[in-house]
Amino acid sequence: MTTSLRQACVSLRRLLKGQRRDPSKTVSVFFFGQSHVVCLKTAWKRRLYRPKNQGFEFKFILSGQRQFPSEQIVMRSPSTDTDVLHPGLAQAFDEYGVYGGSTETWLVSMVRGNACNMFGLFEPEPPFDFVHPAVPELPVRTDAQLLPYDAVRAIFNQYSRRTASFFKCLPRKNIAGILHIEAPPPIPSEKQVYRSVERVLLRRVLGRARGTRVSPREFRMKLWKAQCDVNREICAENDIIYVTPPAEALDGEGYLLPKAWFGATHASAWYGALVLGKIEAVITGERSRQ
Amino acid sequence: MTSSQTPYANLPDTAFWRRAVASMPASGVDPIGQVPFVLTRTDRIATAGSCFAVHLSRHLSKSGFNYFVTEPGHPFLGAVAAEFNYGAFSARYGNIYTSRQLLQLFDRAYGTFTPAEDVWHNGEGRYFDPFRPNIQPNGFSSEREYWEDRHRHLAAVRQLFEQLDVLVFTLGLTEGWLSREDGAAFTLCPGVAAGTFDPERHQFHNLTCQEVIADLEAFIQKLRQVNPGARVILTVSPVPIIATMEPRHVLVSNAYTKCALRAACDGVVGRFSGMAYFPGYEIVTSNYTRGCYFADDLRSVTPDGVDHVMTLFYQHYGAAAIGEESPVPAGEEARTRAYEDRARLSEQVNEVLCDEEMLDSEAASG
Repeated sequence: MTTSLRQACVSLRRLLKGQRRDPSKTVSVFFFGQSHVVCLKTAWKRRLYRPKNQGFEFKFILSGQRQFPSEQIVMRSPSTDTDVLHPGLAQAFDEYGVYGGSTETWLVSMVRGNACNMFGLFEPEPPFDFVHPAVPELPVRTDAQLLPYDAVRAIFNQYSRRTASFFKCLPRKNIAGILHIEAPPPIPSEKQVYRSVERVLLRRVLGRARGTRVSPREFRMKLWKAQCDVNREICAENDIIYVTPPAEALDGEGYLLPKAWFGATHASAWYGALVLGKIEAVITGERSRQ
Repeated sequence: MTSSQTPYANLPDTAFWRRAVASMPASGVDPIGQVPFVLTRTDRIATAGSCFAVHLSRHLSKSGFNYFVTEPGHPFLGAVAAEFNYGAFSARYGNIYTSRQLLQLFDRAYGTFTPAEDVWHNGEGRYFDPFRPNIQPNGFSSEREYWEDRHRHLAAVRQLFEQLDVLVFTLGLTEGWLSREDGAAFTLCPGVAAGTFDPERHQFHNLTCQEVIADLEAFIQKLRQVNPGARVILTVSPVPIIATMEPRHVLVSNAYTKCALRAACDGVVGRFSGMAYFPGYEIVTSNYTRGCYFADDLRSVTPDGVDHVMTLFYQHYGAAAIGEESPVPAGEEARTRAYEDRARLSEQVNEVLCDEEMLDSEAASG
């Protein structure tokens, strides 16, 4: 299905459900996710971003792995033998009146954005590499086993099954729209990544030896792009608006600009503010179309 | 001269149909006899050939013998690797149905033959290898990936030919499709799995027994040039051909194909040292089985049939290895262990990074 056709179907469904836009209504935007949502929350708390439109409210309801473990965003209900939302999120939706319909409600997911780092922040052993079809010009290491892009993507697909199930479990009644924000792209500086990683290893948090190599930036970029490909597809299949990182935060090759770096794999509050701006722009655009 | 004085008088039971076949339970039939060499657990055994050879590969990889693979799946891929034909054979060449394909694989690997029609593009961004069109589902995702993979694949083939101790090659077909331009032997008729059939460029060819012999002889000579000690076991696939292009019944064509391949094996084996014929074809297809080694489609070989073949293979070729220490489990298991170890570390560090960076960020926001 083409994007415009899909969009038309979504609009029609909303029309049939009586979800016509009321410009006077408050627009509540609820955020939830694991560690990548924190830069948005920090930007919001530090007032680095304020909505341009009157009536927009941003609310951070669950953030971080401890509150909302990525492996438990959906859980198997023993009574119905179906996947259900993590009880913490379901409860938060209740408490915030997400289901009520008293405001125009948008949900913003930033779940499970770390697969690319799990798979390749460190040099896998034995190393592997692949050609990403969108950036075939990126170097491919000759000392690493070449894997088919489709096979790498299949592994991301496996990892994302839980995300797909989560999207299916999200409430739709009285919800104006759901957005999924892609995790930030890689930090190109290996030095920056090393610094954060070494800090963890040095303190022997894991009781493990140091010396594990961080993967080359091009490899991390390819993994991130493979993750994006899968997430974009899952979003399209579930009527979820997929939001890419803000262009202002990226360098010419698509890596995070230094101002957006935070630690080894996360983004700064400055980046978070740009994302909030993009989210507002996307929602505003959607509202004007519907 | 009485009958007890004929040349048959002192022959073993295996020389007589009644004693060796008709009066035997099916599972007891053993047509192998003396083998010219045996396998040790350290011998690097490579496989190639038509689809029946996949059974051989699977058994060898689990048997404790040194199943030699130069293009293995990466542990990152787990079960996905099989979908991309890693491990089906010793390198990722897919099915090699004919002697011509085997010979040309060698020539392509060593750069002495570069087919004119060397890549197929479907016009939708997908690239296919004419010489292994089914090697991965839906082909390659970019031209760069295609050529990178091809380059590394042929390097893995060279490594295989140069380092193997024993090659088990299963002949499957005589019918095939060639390029009219340079005689390149395609794995399947262009247009079946990928590519486009063009009668101006593609022609049908049914190898004669003499051509199969010539191909095999040329291959063995070339193999011995790069690996003088290489031994070869030839087999014929018991799986009947699926279709024929000859203007005759498929049953008749199947009989020709298997007879030509079977005869070619005898034509070659006797002319080189370090060569053997293994009668997997006879074990599965002979009438003593009353057809019980074929599944309902009368093509697929049943697990019992495969077991019979492999039991006899190990019994005769692997006897010397019984009781030997296997040096092998090493390879694949060690790679998997190393990968899992690193993946676990990666996961742990990522978790800690997420927690710490989150706390830092929250602290910074006050």
